[in-house]
Amino acid sequence: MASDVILLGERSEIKPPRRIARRGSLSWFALVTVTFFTFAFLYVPIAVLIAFSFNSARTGATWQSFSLQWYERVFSNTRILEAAANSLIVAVLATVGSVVIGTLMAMAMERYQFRTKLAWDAILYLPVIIPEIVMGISLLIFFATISLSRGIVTLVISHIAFCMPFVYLTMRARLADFDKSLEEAAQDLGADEWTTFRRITLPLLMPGIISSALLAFTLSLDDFVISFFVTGVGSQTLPVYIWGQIRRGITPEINAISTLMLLLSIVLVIVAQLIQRRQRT
Amino acid sequence: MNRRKFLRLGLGLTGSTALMAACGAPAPSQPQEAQAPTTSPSAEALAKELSWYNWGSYVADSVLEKFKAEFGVTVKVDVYSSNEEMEAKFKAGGNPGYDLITPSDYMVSKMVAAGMIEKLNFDRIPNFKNIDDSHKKLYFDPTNEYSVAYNWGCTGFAFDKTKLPEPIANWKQVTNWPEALRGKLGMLDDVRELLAVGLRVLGYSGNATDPAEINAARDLLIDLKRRANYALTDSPNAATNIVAGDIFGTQIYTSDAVTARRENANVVYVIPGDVSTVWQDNLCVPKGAPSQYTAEVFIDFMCRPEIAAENANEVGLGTPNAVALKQGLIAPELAEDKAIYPDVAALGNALEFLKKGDPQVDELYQRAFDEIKTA
Repeated sequence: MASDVILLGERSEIKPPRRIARRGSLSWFALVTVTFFTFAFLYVPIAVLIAFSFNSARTGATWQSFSLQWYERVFSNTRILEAAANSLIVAVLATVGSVVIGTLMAMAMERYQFRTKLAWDAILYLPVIIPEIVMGISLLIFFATISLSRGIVTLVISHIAFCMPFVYLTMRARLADFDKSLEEAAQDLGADEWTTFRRITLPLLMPGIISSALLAFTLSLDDFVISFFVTGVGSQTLPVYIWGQIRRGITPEINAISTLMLLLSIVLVIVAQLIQRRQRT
Repeated sequence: MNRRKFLRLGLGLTGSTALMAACGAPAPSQPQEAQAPTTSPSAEALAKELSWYNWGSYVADSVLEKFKAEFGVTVKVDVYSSNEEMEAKFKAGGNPGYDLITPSDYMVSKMVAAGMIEKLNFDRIPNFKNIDDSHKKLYFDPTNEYSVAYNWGCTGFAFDKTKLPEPIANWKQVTNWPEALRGKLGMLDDVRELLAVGLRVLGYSGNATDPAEINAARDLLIDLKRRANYALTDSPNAATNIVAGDIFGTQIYTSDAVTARRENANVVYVIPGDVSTVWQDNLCVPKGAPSQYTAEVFIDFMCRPEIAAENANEVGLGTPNAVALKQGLIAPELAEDKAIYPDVAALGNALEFLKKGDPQVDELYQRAFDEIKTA
């Protein structure tokens, strides 16, 4: 989980180095090579996956001919669609839940001083480094103990639980350079607390909220380990469903649905970027 | 150890006796069905939904739609990829709400012993008579009270006929893999399937419990690994590899071999005559099922010849439904396929189930397997 942490949208203020490697020099060559391989490692597998989703062969080994049959199969396979719908429902609810709780928590921790604050802060970081499998098992035992039957509800609760720390971290970073004087100015001008929050605080925090929401959404969407433990009857998410298919082989249907999910993620990132850009101007 | 084993056995027995007592009494709401089992069951006793925890890609959607059209019951399917995964789901926190599961042979006996499976009321499953006798009363359910055969198949050997000097017919040839084709052999990354090959070539049972026999099989497979440098893969990947030509021959499940053959006409699949593994997946009702009655109506529906055939034609695995086969309802390219429906009479005793579940024996096998992997 921890390796996924990227604080999206949090632009770093690092200035470009003054000395730029000269074209053709050794360091230029090294930089180009490293960059090339970095992008290749990141994107070649995804490109292969997308390409093979248009392959007519059933096994992913050889290219036969171009075909849209796997996309047709996806849209006529009710079980894949149900699993995808479950994933989206859980991701949306988990995002809303974790962003609201995480943001409020970050604001509280940022603004109030109390004696055990450091300890609480550490506890909030902890779920980021706890192995997912430990979290999955403990959640399962917890739900079994309070005899809450496993399903969408347990999935959403679990996903909120593991997304929240990431939201919290993002929002703490955002709040660290929050200019408190703007809120004070609004209140000096007669705005009550709610108006200040709505008109001043929230818009200023919006870039952070959007990046943390994206982060939470992505984490929830591709979570397997925790979902695997807490999923119940009729609530399998897409990753859990794909895992269940393994014994009969991964069909290009899976490639097709993955491509569609990728498309969705790209659209989301673009939308988020557009919103942020508009707010900056 | 012995006492613990005895205790466990005792607990298992008490568990299943309690279960028998619980199931022995007919459900009060359906006395009329018990009297006239052949008439279609009344809809009021059926649940609205049936939850089935099943292998992935293991049932035709069209069949489920037909069931809904006729009985008004929506069948919800969740999928798993191994017996142990399914078992774990039930052990951790009890039955999450499934009416129906599809355990393989050895898992049926394991779960029955653990009191996790309900006895079936066969009065409600009259179509059970369509199942071939060779798929009834097997070792894992000797009195056939808990399970109904659903699909079956073998573990055999697939090879590319253009790349091997001679066709493979038995495991002995596989273990004599030519050194010239080093790195072109695949074996299943499965503790029991792999060791079974070694055991059978040496003339032992794939279910050997004697450490000396298991170790002999281990040594044979380590020797083969040094000579042939075989790759250990799971069965779907074995299919991918042989289609791509990365390997020339591999141990493989029937289902994946059929896929591989469809993609590459040079691939031949055989069930080696010197004893191969046979497996059977079964419909069972787990303890704590919300509606055992609905599950039984569904099992009966699945045993209808035309439904079993429609399902088998889509899934592409062997159906145990003798009537479906006899009436020619199975697509000829499947029915005449000796890989899917091997000539059991000709193979005679050359097919065996792999019996798992004894922790001590499993440990022996696991250790041997680990030693092969690290050799």
